[in-house]
Amino acid sequence: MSRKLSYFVFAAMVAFFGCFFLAPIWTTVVSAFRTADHKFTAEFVWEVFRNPLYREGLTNAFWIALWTTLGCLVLSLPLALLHVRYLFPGRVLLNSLVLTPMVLPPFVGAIGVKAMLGQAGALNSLLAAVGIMDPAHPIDWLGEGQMFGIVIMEVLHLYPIIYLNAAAALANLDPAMEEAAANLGCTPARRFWRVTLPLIMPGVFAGGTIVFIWAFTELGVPLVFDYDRVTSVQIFRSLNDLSGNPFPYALVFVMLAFSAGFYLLGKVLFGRSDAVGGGKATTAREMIVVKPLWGWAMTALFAGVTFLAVLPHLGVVFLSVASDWYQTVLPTGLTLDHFRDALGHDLTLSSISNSLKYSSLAVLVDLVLGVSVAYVVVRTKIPGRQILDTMAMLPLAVPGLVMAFGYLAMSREGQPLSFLMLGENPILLLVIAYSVRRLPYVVRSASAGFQQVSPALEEAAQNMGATPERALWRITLPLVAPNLVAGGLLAFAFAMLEVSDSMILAQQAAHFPITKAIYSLIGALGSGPNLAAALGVWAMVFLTVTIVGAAILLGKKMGALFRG
Amino acid sequence: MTTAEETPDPTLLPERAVPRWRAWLGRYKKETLVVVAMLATLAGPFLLRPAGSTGPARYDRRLVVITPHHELIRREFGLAFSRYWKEKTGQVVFVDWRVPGGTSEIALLLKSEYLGAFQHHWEKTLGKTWSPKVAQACLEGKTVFSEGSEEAAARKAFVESEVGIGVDLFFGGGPYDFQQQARAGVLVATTKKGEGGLPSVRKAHPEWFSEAGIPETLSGETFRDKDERWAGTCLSSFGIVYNRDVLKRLGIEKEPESWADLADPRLLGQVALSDPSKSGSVTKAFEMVIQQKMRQALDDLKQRPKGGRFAKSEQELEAEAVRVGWQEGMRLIQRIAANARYFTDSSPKIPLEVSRGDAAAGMCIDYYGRSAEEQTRGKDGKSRVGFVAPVGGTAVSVDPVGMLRGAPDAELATAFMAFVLSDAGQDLWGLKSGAAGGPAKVALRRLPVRRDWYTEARLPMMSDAGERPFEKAKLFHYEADWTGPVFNAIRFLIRVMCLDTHKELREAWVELERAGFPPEATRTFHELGLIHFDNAASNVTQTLASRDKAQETRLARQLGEAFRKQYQLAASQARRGQ
Repeated sequence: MSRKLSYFVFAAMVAFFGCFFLAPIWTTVVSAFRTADHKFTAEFVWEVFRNPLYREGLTNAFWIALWTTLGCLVLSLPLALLHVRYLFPGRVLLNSLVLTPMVLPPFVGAIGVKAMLGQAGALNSLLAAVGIMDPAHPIDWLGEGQMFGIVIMEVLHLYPIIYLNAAAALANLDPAMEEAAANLGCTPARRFWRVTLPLIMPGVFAGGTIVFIWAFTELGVPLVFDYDRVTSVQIFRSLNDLSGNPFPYALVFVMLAFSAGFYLLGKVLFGRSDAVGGGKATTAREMIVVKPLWGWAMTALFAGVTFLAVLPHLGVVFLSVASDWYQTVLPTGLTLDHFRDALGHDLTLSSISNSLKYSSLAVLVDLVLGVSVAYVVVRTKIPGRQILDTMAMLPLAVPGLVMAFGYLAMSREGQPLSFLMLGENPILLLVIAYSVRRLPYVVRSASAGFQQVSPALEEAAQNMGATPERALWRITLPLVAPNLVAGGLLAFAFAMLEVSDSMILAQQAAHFPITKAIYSLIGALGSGPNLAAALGVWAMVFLTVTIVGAAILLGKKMGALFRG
Repeated sequence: MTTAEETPDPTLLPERAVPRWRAWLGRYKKETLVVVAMLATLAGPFLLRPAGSTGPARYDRRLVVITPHHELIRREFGLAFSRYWKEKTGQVVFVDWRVPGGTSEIALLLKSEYLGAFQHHWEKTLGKTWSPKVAQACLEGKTVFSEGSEEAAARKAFVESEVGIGVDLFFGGGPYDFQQQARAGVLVATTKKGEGGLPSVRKAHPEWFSEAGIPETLSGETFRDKDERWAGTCLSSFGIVYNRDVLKRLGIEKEPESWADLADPRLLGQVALSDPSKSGSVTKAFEMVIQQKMRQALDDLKQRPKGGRFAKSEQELEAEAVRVGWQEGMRLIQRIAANARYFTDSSPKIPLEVSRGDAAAGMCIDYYGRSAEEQTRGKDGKSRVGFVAPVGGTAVSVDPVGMLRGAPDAELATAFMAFVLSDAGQDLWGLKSGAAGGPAKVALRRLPVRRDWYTEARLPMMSDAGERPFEKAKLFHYEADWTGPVFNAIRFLIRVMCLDTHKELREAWVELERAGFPPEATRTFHELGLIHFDNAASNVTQTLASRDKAQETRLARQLGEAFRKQYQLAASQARRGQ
């Protein structure tokens, strides 16, 4: 790539980043500290801390995030170790199934969980049928324990992120290190604590941070559980009353400050890798073959966790075909009416086409920007290229809710970027929002591709007289195409699943993306949850196809995409 | 990945040439497979797409309606009106529903949006400077500002403007919110030129706007605005929806009959309620609880021996009854709320939770209850869900429609209002599905507002033929003066007193029940000195009207803290058996 083009890419990325990442955050922060007559005040932010309700919201968000992260660690670390160390039946298949929980936005799963954990729900019926519970005194799992439900839902949704990171870190770990420790007489448990864990810590930390911030700011799940004592929901609830109301801005500011604080704290505490491994394995890892009994036990553990993780999905599937599901373990009657009604609903087709439109445009933006950035970072030597990489990755660290709110604040009438709202159509805003949030996936996969393809091929083309651009276009790009397709598909799938931006930026039915359509169906009188579940099942099928497609095309490189 | 060398060059081997597309397919086999699978999934919704849509891709005119009405109502009215308009004019109409939440949320949104729009108008069109005073005055319809003041100028500028928010109609909710919006100047009778709106509907159909059609008031409830900025379209009353299985399980033999039955301590954690600051209908139901208590207080006071030093005039008696009833009503609400499982964000979730067995009973609007009963009815004709309107505990009020200031298409808005009030519109509310002129999909089970609609001929086609709303309305006389001025305060105070402090409220309630309601603890629990009626009517209402969010949040925090402490004290007193 010519130097001029590299600098152009650099400038374009800085402009994009400035306008669509920094500016929205800045607009929000300014509004949080400004009175009606444009004077500085810290009163609103201070009130957030003084107000017990807001304080409770923040503490609850923190606990949800902490429990979710711990739950994910407990669930995923053993699995990652098993997968990397041992050979057991069904190992490859089970590993690829780990991704299944990610094919459904967690708030859709929450509809299923709600149906199963109700007082007359499947779990209580099961407990009563087995004889553990007295049917006259059922447990109201969610009555007081909404937070419990939220944590379960989020753990089951997010543990694959830590799993993928940990598995990738373990795979990169030099087995010679562990062997050396073993040779010196270290017990396996001690070896894990003193050698393995410190070495994979950066990988685990990267996944853990994503999970923590994700759970800290999750909006959809608490909304479905009717849990309003959490900051994200408090922000969402205040959207109808934005004029002259500084509190939503102040809340968003506080949430952002906390997210950034937690990120830095985590980085200081866990992110430093004191233990430096070789980076690459010096010897091949010998897979341990265990006795069949143990092997099957491992299979059962793996399968059990996956089964747990797909339970909400099962609940959604059952709900979508149930004519009634009351006081029984399984639905009493089967019907396809909900599918007919949901897929034939006024909102459905338009929301699907909206989502496709928004997501594919966003992926297009991401591909152009992501490939350029990755190329400049990997293949050129221009100064400051690492900043470019950091810029592209930063959206992973900032909560979607904060960004969404920033876009909304930025595009209100009278604000500098109000032209982005095309009349009432939020398409530009949503495309930008989606593409900023998903850019990291594309940059990661493109970078991986560029690192694997030898620059010699491109140089050869240039020696034969091709311009650098032509060499890139004809030689390198086709070679990294699988990476790009996979990264793009993943970005696409996650854009289709996007909740925060969709909930906040799409205000009119005609412009709803699919997630908001599902959410608004929940509220329909009577069979609302069933309809939402039916549309959720459709989305699940569609995204399974997409993600399985990505997995087929990308192979094992999937985990690399989630590393912050 | 195959490389270029492996693909035979078609120019060198003409006989065995592979067509380009096939070579391409061979090379991108996996990719093609993935794309085909995606397209197959997309086919489903495409094939099932609705034949008649309220959101056509191409349309001639658009009607934007902001509404809390649920999906079925929106669909039926959207389809029926666009069909009607198509037949009348040949134009395709797109009924663009905006559903930001419940009525309370719509009220917030309207104020917020109109304020934003007027600020734009004030600064950009009129070129004046925006100030907190202007913000406060422009939507203030109650206070008369002194001539020449900045406030008066702002209010005048708003009332004379055609500032709009791109929405034509406000459809559905309760008379209180419509009155508020009308007074603020957000709802208008006609456009600035004096065209359209309800006055023109009235001119065409004077009989609808009469005692035989829609009376102006009935048993104290306003059915239509006398300045014609809004009119009722159908009737609603309130009641208790309950799940028979859950009640039986809890050992409650008697099905609920009155609001007070919801305060039964055995219902702890089993009552479904929703947040009154989101839903207008739930606030209305709470208002009914208070009104009933006020009525009872007045009856009690009247029965006391008259004469002597304590003789009081009618007015004094009434004022006292309002104060006493307010306290009693709020106390009952405290107890009901202490039983709440939690507060949902929208009122349709209440019948849903009850029918799913997650709650034993809940307060809701009549047709939610009736629909839930119908939906859970088994083959034997019995339903696990029941609905009851508490005797003497509910007024019959209306669900109105009105035109918004600056409506983009006032002609269409007027036509829609006329349609809803016409026989065709009224039939949609009240007829069985499938009956001629009735709803296409499911009966909406709502009672039309026009008295002349209830004819012998329609009786067999009505979805709720047994209902006599105009008779029932006589059982409860609604006194707008009693609770009207504090309606907003009710919303706010219940939130502060019951929602924000629900944990402590519930704990105190549990302790009280365990200790057998010891007198002092019970008194502490029910202490409402902070929010007695006069305070609610003056301080709280003023703060809410000022639109100063910082002040409102501060007030909520202070009251909330006080209640929290009070409940904690009550709990500890109860533990000591005091």
